[in-house]
Amino acid sequence: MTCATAAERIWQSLDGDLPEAAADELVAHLRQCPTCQATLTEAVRIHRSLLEAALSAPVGSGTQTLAARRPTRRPSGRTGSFRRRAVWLVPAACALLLLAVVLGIDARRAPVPDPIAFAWISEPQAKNGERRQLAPGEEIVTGAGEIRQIQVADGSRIQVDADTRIRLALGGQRRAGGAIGLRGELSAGRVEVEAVAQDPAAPLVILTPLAEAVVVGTAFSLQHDATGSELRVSHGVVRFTAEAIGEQQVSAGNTLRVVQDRLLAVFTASSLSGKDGESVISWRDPSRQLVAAPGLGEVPPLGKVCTSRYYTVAFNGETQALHAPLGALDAAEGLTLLVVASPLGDGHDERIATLNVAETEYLALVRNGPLLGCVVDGRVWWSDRPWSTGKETTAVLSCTWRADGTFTLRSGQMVLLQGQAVPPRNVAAASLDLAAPGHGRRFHGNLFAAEVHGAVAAIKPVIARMAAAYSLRAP
Amino acid sequence: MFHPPSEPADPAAVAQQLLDAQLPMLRAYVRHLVAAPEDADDIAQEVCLEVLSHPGILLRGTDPGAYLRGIARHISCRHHRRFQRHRALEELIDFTWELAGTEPDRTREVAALRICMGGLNDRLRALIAARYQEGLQAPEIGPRFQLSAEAVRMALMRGRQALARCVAQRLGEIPA
Repeated sequence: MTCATAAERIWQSLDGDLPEAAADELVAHLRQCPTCQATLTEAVRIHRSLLEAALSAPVGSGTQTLAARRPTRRPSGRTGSFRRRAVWLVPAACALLLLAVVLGIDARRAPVPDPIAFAWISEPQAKNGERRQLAPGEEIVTGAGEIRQIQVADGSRIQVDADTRIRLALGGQRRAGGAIGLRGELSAGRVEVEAVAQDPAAPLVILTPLAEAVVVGTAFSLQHDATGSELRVSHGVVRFTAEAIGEQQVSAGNTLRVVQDRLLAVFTASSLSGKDGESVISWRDPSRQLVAAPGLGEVPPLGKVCTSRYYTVAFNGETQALHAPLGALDAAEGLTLLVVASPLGDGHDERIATLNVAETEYLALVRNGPLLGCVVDGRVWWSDRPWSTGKETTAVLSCTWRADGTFTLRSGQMVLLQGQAVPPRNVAAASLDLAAPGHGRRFHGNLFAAEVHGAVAAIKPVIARMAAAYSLRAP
Repeated sequence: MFHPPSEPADPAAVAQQLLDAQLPMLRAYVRHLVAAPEDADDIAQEVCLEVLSHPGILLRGTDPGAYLRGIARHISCRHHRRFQRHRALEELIDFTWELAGTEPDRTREVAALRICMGGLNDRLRALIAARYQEGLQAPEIGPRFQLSAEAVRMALMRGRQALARCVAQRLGEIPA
């Protein structure tokens, strides 16, 4: 007997379909063939799993309980002793009946779905709990006021709210690495997930264009729209991952929002000038690479250039001072001001960059000797830590003011100060002043670039991008 | 810390707990012995009644699952065997059955299987559902799909082999 024939006969045997003589041959072969013994083990294992899967109904799918699955066909030759119902069926049937009464389900009309499919979805305007099997990769699109319920085979539930677009598929890889069991790709709208404990090796994962929520066995909602993605956890823990924030464990009662990065304004220095005003280096826009002026030879490292008094860095070619009207700002989701700067000397109370709203310094980066500070809604906050501890004083300085009013002052990736202010608001007209005295003194140093963002959840990547663009070393 | 002395365990209560824990395995095993779902339920019921009437017996051995399978085999042979299995082969299968694992690994495996089922085509899923949900044999399934019994056997075998590979991949036993 070949191993291929043995494999066929193993399955026939498990199906109770193998003639006696063939079974003799199979047993003889199995006793001397380790390969086929392994085949038998694998076959029994999957056979047993299929039996168990067929017997265990998904949570909440009342129509799939044992009683409801009973076929009408009954074989002949039954004995009287088998007429008694199973002892566990009595409470199960009572519970089912109660559930059916409570939910108004008519078991005679409710369809019996395939219990070993991967998911089912309620039909629009479904009556009597009508559902259909969901095909892997199928996209669900709900209209205004339409809510659909998805029942996953493992017992998890997904509610798809109105105006939502989500695709459910099997398998795949997480952006952060690792396998996915069931994948929900939420491109717009909101879903609520109530999940049973998941296989850690291949869990249920809901992805948005910005983030991914790895389900551990929990209940949560995930929403995505043009402004960002928001996770609300009502029970258990969700691993939430986004490029902006890395991986976060979000526990019950907490909300995490990843907002779309909205760059409102960007300014870069147009040239480097020598002490005598001769232009020696200029930016090659838009890539912001330094290029040497003709005849200069090798380009000096930017950090070295900019800490020297020999050079000045000019916005608009001649002076660092810049006043730029920005118009209305959508700042309700947060506001971030970043500059690449190299303070010189020991100047006090100097304004590096200021975002002004009317006559108020709404958000500003300020310095006092080696210390950095920020102005948030007109109030000055000072850090007690220097922005640089080494010789390298050129850094990406930033102040992030979040929608909840908290703010963080950073030099590079290093947090210098955190505080709480009022939440930012949308403003009708704002302007950006670079190296202007404002309510303090004029900034003494070099300014390479400034950026204003409406909201930045991913401040670290933005800082890294700016540092890389200006050849700055990581602190 | 002071701990009050505990009462001796009630054999009936312990047996009931053991039985509850083993019930999913028992029902699956009986479905393996007798394909028709309703007959399998009746036999599983007989096993439960037998155990609950003599709870002490279940507590004597170290493997309650094997004991329950033995009772199930006996009852199914005595009353209700729809098809005969080769005795030596059945012993081999029974030995292998236990190797398939116990909770909570079984739960993981069944969950992986459910996911893998979604990867099969509709026709294969329907064939497997007919075999396992309805308890039909290949000759009974064939006419429904306009297939010969042999073709049903082959399709079922390939489908189940694909599921076995998929489950093993999901559980990290073989590379994806």
